[in-house]
Amino acid sequence: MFEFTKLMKFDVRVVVAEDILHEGDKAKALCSRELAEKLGVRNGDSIRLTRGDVSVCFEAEVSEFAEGVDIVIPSGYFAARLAGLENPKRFEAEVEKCDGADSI
Amino acid sequence: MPSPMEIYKLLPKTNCGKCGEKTCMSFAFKLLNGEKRLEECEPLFSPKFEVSRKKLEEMLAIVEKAKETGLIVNEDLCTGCANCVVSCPVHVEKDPYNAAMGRGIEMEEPILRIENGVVRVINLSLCRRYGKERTLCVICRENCPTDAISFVEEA
Amino acid sequence: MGVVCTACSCLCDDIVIKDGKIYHACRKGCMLLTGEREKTRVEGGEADVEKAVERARELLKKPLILGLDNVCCEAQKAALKLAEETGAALVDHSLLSGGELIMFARELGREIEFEKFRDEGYLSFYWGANPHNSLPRHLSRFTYYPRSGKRQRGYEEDRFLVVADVRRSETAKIAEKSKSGLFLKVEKDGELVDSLLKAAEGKAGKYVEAARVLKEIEKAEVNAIFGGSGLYWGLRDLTKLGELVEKLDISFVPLTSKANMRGFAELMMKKAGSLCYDFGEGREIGLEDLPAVFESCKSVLVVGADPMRTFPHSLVEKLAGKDVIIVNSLKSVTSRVIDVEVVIATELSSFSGGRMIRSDGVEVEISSQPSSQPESLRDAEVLEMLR
Repeated sequence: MFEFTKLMKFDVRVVVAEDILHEGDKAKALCSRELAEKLGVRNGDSIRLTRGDVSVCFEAEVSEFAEGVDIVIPSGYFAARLAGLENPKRFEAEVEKCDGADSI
Repeated sequence: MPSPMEIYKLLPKTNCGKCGEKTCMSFAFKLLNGEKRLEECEPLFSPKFEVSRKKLEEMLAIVEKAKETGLIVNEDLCTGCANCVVSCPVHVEKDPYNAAMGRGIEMEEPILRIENGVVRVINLSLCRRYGKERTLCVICRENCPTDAISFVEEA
Repeated sequence: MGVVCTACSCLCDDIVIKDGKIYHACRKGCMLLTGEREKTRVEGGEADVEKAVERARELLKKPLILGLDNVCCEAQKAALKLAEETGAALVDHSLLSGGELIMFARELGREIEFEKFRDEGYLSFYWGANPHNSLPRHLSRFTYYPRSGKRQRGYEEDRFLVVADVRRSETAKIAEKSKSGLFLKVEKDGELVDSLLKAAEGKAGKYVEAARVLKEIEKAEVNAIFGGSGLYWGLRDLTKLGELVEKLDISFVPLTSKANMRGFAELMMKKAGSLCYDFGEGREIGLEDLPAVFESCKSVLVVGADPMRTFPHSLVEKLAGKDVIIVNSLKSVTSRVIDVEVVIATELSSFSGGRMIRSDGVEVEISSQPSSQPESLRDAEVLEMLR
């Protein structure tokens, strides 16, 4: 992976959905293959999602279940940090690589 | 999982017929599917074939283990949705008023059952993939969207 | 009768707990039934229920009563009475998870009970819902997999699965892989509604597969759309959806994942005419009112909920500095991360007895079960004590 991908920021479509397997005390996010290649992200890497003045770092998992959008985050504490009232299920955010995922 | 050819290469290859099969190749197939035991090949237990016999014993130990755990569930991927339990044709036949209708399975020793939130293999001997009249049934795996179920031959 | 699992609105009543094992409950159900239990405490120190209730009553001034989707109907009624007496605002999660679909379905009057669909239904259309995670046993218990009644030949021949979603979810994958299934990847739900309406008139819309959906619907008399919160948030205005359901002559069932959101909606519609209501101000609470409601309350009573996990933090942050009282059976993230004055630990809803209303409007009786914490009171009892 090229190191300069650390400097990249993209606008992404985020969907919040129930996810029994990934919701928990550590922030996890499903990433589409397309975005993972664009951003240079592999399973276990961390990504920062920023919406307005709120940022949350997630541990990324490249998943077929994010196909069709860019990122799927499990509904729960971390999604609640990012989501707004306008549409708590679908919104746009900025994504970039970061070090370490947030946890409760 | 060894192939019949790998088993055959370690047999005496004399086609003596003492095991009841016409050829050693036929004996190799039947060893793999559990219809014959290694002890039925007398020449194999002579000192001449000691090395081959030990290798065969190791190979068949893997086969025995595969038969016990031939269906593997990755619990980290299982949500306990019970699609596999309800769609299993054996369960449909043997538990028509519970599993077949989507309710918790009631038969004594089913092939699969949801326990503590994930699917567990209980009694593989009933599974259509194993035994003498086996078929290439993939229904449980095909209806699991998270690929929590895999078969040993592919693992 | 088995234990009733109250982890989602399937309200599975065939759960067996025996010799330390839980049979038939999905992962979500198991997480509920084995979750870490709350302990009653006042200002961080363990206390008995009487002391906690006494302190809570002192704190309940201009309260916001929040949650109530995971407790039985009796507890919801007690909370309503408490709200009327204390002038509280009563808010559950329905404004955020498509509770409007419940009102829509009731008005339309085209619902179908899950057991009837299991026995007669052909086409199940999951729209903006991924039951694999929200109601894990829904497909295997009620819609696609059971062989029951007139549907003895199972999913290969007697069922058809349609999934419309913005992404290829687990349920969408099942539909896509199957010969008797169809996945419609949708950018804008309104466009799919239009396409289906056009297809009903023999015209083509943006989604050409709409014609196939109609062809399948024609094969049987009993078909249903199961609408999830994704459908509500994708449309917001449900007028054309209503036209579509009438035109296709199909059933419509709202799929809400919280165990008794339907029960709360039914109660509130009957008593207050809206999903959420401010008994202090005497008016309905809509989505746009939530920030002001959260801001203006002096105390918060959280009942059977975990707001830090379910409500946007931009709302929950407004509760900083207010007196927070939690009435819950399981340890919540909320009680871990914010200062809570009083916690009253209650019995698990699956063991406490009472009634809940399933997604399809069917009432389910929760039988009382022996509990590992027999000293815990039921939610309804605690709320009565707070009056």
